[in-house]
Amino acid sequence: MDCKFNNELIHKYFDRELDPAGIKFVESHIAECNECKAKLESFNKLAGLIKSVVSVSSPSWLAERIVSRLPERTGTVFEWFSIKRIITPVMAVVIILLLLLPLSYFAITRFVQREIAVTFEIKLDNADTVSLVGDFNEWDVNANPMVKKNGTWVTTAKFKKGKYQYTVIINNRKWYLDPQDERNFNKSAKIQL
Amino acid sequence: MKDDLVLIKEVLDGNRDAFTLLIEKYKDKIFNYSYRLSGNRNDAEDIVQDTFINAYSHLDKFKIEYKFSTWLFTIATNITKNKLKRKKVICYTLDVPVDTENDEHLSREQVMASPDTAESNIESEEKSRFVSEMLNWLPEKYRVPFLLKHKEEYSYEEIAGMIKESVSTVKIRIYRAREMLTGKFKDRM
Repeated sequence: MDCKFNNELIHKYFDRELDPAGIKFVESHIAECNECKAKLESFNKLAGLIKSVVSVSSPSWLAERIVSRLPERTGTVFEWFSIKRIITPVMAVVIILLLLLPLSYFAITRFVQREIAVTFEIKLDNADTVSLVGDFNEWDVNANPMVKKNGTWVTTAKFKKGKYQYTVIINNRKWYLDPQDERNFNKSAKIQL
Repeated sequence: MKDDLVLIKEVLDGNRDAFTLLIEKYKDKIFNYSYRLSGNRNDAEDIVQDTFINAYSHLDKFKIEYKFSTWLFTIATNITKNKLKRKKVICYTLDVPVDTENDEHLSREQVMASPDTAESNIESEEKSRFVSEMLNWLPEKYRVPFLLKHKEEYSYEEIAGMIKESVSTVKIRIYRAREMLTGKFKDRM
């Protein structure tokens, strides 16, 4: 009862938590101290007793009783608040919005950037093929071919309002407007070149 | 034997029978622990039942990084602590007559299963009774960590997590339990 040795170290030694130096320190003390030696021995006995005591079996009817008293997991409460009931309507709304989006975009762009129809006229002699080309038709000679009517070549091009460069190609070779003209088209009109 | 996590997933998918397998696997362990902790067979039966019902009801909250058995022990510990708080704690000493209802008798299965002679069966029963006496004497505050360490062999860190105390507190309590038990009962060990 009088030993002043650090008690905690005895427990740590018992739990195998000490490093080699600590182990040596405790063991050299125990070799000389009957009190601490006895303490360690009784710890060993106690641990052995607890570890080896027979396990007590539960009653054979216990498992069945537990199962019979388990609550309903998949009852209406669980299903009502289940994630599926939230996700399905949300997904439906998302899908509808995604479908409406391109439609609304199309409607908005049509409204904001209304297409205009511009008629181009040019009086030319000695022309076999005449074509209107510009930014609005990617400078494609086949996009807006002009038609001769009473000596005047004419075509109508449809495109969005804006500033465009353009010219007329004669016989696939010659540019009428050289360099090309540039104009701000903001409404349907008739242009005589 | 299916892995616990596999069984838990099956239960969560709606297979109740998978939970029955978990009950069969762990009921004796939980019963033993609850019995040694509460000192009473009837209480242990209720504790085991409440533990599994609690686990079943909160299975969706079980974190897969834990072991299922550890989780069960934690639930059982909390239920037992609450139960003990509500009951009057009786200090078990030799002067108090043994409660015959609180039977230490080994079940017939245990007696029949023992390979040894009748003598060692009696010895087992006496040992069991003695352990119960020691543990019932030990205050609950020390009994819980002591059992988790010496009977269930959890580490200090695991016990700290289960009973929501610091590791140093757990160590101090277990050291104290050892000192108290050996101080009082060493002559009979």
